[in-house]
Amino acid sequence: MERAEIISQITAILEDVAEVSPEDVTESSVLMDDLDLSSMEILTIVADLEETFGLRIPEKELRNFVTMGDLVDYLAANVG
Amino acid sequence: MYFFRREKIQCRYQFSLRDAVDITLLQRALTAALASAPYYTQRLVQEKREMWLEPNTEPCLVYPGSTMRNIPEQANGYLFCVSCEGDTVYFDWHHFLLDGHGVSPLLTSILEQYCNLRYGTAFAVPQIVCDPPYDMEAMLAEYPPVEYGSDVIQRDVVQTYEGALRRTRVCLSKQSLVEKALANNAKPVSALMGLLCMAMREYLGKEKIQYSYSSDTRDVAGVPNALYNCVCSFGHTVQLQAQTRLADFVADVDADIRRDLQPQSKRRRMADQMGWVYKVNQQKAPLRIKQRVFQMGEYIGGTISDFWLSYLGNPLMPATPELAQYTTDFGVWVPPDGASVGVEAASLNGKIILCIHNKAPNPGLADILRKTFENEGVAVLEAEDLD
Repeated sequence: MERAEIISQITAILEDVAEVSPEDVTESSVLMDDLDLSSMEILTIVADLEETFGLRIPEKELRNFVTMGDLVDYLAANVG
Repeated sequence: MYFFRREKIQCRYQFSLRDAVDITLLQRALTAALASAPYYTQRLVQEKREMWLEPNTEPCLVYPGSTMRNIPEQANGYLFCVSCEGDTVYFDWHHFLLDGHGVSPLLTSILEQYCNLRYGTAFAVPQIVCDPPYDMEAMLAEYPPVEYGSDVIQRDVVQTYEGALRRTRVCLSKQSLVEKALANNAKPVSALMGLLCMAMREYLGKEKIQYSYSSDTRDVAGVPNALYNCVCSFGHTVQLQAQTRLADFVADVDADIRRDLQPQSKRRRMADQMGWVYKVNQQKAPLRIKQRVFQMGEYIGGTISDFWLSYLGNPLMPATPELAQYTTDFGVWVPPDGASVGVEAASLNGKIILCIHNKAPNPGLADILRKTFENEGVAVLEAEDLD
């Protein structure tokens, strides 16, 4: 899947779950600090991404999701 | 809590009677018992993103046969199910409305009413009253929920194995375990927990082992007569090496367990865990998303562990035939949700019997357990991988 398509899906979920405007999101955005996401919102976004992309993200990967780019990298590497 | 687990937990109690069960009389007994126990007649209603409990006006039926029915779909909406075959009464229940404490009064009442009808006994029909829900808001006010920061989300978590379930049974001399504990000035459960940690280090091939266990919280929540689930769980980590002996770390395990079981610790932990459930429930998301969020929250909250230890049976009546029978096969009980390995420990006739459910793929658990216990001077009467 194209990286741009993954970013588009994530930003749509960010807007839906946490009302984060797509213009405020870049790959370097830190999820908790820059986007002001709570832990509950991050987990909801991850759960939503699993549904959207049809994969199961192991819990041990959660610690690696610090920035928007981390999420994109993971999905780019694991979505067929 | 169990509502948000993806795996539905259905449990079964079964009772063998002296004679073949008369299903008509059992139906009358069930109806009579339920007439004085309104809590059990509730059904779960789900609409879009909301769910609640309300009285079930459908008849509560006794079903013929021993097959466990899907609850509530195949039980007229009830969250438990009574069935019978031959001389046996089966009582199945969904761990959502009830826990083991909550189930016992109802099934006792049903069996008493059945005895009245079948054998002319004179048991009264007890009123079974459930305490109202505990005050979650008050608990959260006392122990405000802590927002998980990046340090929590980014810490390492235990990733459980989720392979096919296999069983291992280990039987220990209770006397030798107690002596080992006393020699280390620790509770027997602490010694057992430490020994299991040592075995899991070798079996799972990791030096950091996280264990967990649960404790009833009716007392600290102020609802001694609650029929619903009322529990909290604790988890701790030990760092072990091949040469580590029990005496090197059991004092720490013992201190953790003793501290956990203080009323304030239990109340704080309950507020933490139920506060998370409360927050998940408030999310505007479909149930499947809430279930996944709840599950991930358990991981980062430290509830998920390498193994858990649970007591099996009634300490006031430890040697029932049903418990003895269960320890021979333990095919149905609570699966090891939230851990790679679940250990149920029964104390029976001077023996500690460990009924172990294991989802890790590695072979040789029984041999490792035997070696670990024997190296520490605890007598092993039996250790066998059953699958």
